Amino acid sequence: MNKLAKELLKKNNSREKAIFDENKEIYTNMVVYLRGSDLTDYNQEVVREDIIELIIDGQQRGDNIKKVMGGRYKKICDEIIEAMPRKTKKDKMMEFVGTSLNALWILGVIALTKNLITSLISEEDEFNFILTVGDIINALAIILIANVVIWVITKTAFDTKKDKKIVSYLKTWFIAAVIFAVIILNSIYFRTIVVSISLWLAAIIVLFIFIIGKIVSERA
Amino acid sequence: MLDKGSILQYNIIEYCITRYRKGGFIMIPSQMLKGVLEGCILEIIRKRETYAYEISKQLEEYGFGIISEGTIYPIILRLQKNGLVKATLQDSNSGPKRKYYHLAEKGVATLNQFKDNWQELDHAVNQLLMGGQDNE
Repeated sequence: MNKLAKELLKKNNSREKAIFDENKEIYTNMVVYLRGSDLTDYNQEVVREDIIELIIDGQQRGDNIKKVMGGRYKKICDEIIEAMPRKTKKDKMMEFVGTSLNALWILGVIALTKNLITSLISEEDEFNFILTVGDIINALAIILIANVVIWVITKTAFDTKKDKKIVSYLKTWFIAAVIFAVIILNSIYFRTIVVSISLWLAAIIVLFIFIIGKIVSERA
Repeated sequence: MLDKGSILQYNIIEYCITRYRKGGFIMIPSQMLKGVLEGCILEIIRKRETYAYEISKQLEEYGFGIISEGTIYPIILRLQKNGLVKATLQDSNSGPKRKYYHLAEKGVATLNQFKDNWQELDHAVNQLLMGGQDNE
């Protein structure tokens, strides 16, 4: 996210506090839906700023969000997305690279911590950073699952919940348990070592990825 | 520029508005409004610099029925994207700064074109409808 978008995001985060609780759920759904669109971060914040302004303006007249937006929230969001300029190929590429690098350094830190703890427990003389096939599969699976979760949340922002609370709770836990089990099984069964380097060298590489990721994200 | 679909819609809307003014209130289906609202919003903005709520109120007063700011906002975004309308943030009496819209140079030209097209269409369809029985 570039500097302009960050500033506007900060301003919007502060402004949205003035939205009444009764209007907040629909407002949040609209923002979540827009987050999953093809708009740049900056344009998302521009639209969010306008929506906040419309809602607060309405509140001051005694109108709720239903009256201000006319009740067709998803359709209005689709029309907004349609009316705004789309991400260019360059925007998309920069975003993809930025997100991938950020995911990589976060997973890198987790792997570093895991390797450090393993080295400390095993009382080895050298601190080594070891990546197995299972670790790589898990990293890819985590990135894929994170993207799917975000996609589902943004695309179903306006869907009415059909399941009872307990059913949806059990469903979520079941899916989480299956994913967790697959990740553990990967670590157990795919133990072929792919990378084995000094922990310090790995830390430098992760730091380097972090810096590049930040630079790319700033410019995206 | 008017496409064929809009041309038909314009006439239906005019008929609806006439009915409304004569006292027989009817709701204008949203599909009919699509396309014509852009021109009407341009005209409202031409009259004076204004903001979303005021535009929706003006449309209501002219007989378009209740049109929420949520319906108007994407249209204004489209007008802005096409360089027809510009926005400025101004202080409002009731709290936060408000976005006011005014016509850009390109917007004036588009509005004039819209008005010409509307008159041509109005004339053409009326000719057809009035003269329809004579030709039977």
